Amino acid sequence: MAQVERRVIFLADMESFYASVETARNPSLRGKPVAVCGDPALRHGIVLAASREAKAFGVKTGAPAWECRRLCPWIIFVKPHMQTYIDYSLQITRIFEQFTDRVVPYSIDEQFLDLTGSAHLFGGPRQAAAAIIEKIWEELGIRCRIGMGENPLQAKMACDCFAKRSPELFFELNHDNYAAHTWPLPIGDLFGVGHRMERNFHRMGVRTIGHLAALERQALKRLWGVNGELLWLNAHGIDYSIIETGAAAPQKGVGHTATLPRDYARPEEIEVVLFEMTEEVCFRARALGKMGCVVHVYCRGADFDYPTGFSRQKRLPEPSDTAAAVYPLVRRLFRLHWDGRPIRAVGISLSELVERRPVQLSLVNDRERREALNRAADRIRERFGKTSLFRAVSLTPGAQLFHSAGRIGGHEA
Amino acid sequence: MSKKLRHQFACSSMMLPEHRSSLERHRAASERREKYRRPVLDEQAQELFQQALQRALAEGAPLTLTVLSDDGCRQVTGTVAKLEPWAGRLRLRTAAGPVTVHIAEVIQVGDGS
Repeated sequence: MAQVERRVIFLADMESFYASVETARNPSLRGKPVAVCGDPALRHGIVLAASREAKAFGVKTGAPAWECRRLCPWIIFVKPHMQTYIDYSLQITRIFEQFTDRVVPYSIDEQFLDLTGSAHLFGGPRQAAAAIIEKIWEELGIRCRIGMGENPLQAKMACDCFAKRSPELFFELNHDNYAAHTWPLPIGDLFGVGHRMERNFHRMGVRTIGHLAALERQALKRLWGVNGELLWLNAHGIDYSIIETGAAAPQKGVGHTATLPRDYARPEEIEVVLFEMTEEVCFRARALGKMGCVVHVYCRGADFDYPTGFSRQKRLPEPSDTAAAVYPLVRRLFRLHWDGRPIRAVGISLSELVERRPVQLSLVNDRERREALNRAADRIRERFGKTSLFRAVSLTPGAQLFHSAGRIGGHEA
Repeated sequence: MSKKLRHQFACSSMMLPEHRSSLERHRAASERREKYRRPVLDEQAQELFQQALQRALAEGAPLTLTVLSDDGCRQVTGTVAKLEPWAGRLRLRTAAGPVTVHIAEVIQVGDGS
């Protein structure tokens, strides 16, 4: 019988990525406790990444700046430089492409590599991984960890649960050893299990990945539908996912969320921000040549201890990419679901994107003129920046346009 | 099979829009490089190239060059005005005025008739 070729999938993860990039750019930081931290004045004062020296003091990603200072008084805070991190991530992609043409970034600091057909060129998967790790260290000064598996899930588990703790910075899981290695791990370590799911499992007496694996697949499916089934498969190291290169993977939606500089309690202020975000999201949809069918609005309450807020979506009467058509629905959702309590973060997305169609004949509005106006405005903003042409509401006190322009992911570019 | 089972990583992927568009630009550039990769000219072709060039210089005969650059493939027809081997350049007089061609980008030479 012909042997089926085993797939060789890597998940490569960069240690403390933002902090490592800052150290690579400024070698005087090497060996010191460094935390990349947003601006505390604007409440982005949480740690985005901490160097391994900072982590040794107990500094964790997501911790507020004051807490880090308490844990490690001589910690060095560095402002984020998002565009630089994107540039480094792309350089890493280029290095990976010297080993395989199938590289799929999963986030800014994690990328999947399929070396099924090319690992032998480097003497085998383990040698290829070692060569990649060395090259990234030599060229960029960043420590890369690689998990290897026969599918993306095994690679991800190998990286998160083992490679990060291994001195070799590499770990291999496969169908033969998956159970032996992962089943003793706590259920929260399984990919796809978040805090809420972890609590559900604990209530059922499922405390390890092995406990979950011992349950009936159908029972999980009955409990949580396809999500339950997916977790059962993950517990067994079975994964049907395909990793597509970016060109093949269609973008599903465009969205935008932001933490507000202070808690907003007045509806007018919140609506201004919602409007600005609607414009931004529609601008991005137009740039992709897409229209969205579904609008999603998200508001999170200010009080961390009593989570409030809502997350609701609604279908547009027809696909659209203009704020004039999308915003009324955003506002309706907001007015319907907001409980009147202060808001800390808001988000909007347009999903179920479809190719932009020629304008349908519409009796009630002058869509063609509006589209021409949008196109002209887009061109001006592309050329002269987002603040070159804006609505007057963006000058009102709560507006965020001038604050968010030139930022990436809510942080300084 | 449910779509979710095939796309758990695509669904959970976190990509900044700015990162996504840089990647797209990078991919487009790679594809372009692959598409317009310069063929390796064999010796015979190079010799023919030399001969045609010399004939064109000596007789003032028109020449058609196929040039492959980052902008794609194009053809230029004209008579040789100047040869600048040290700069790797060739100046042609064409119907549309003078044109400078980088010799490294020439992949085919034919007579201009």
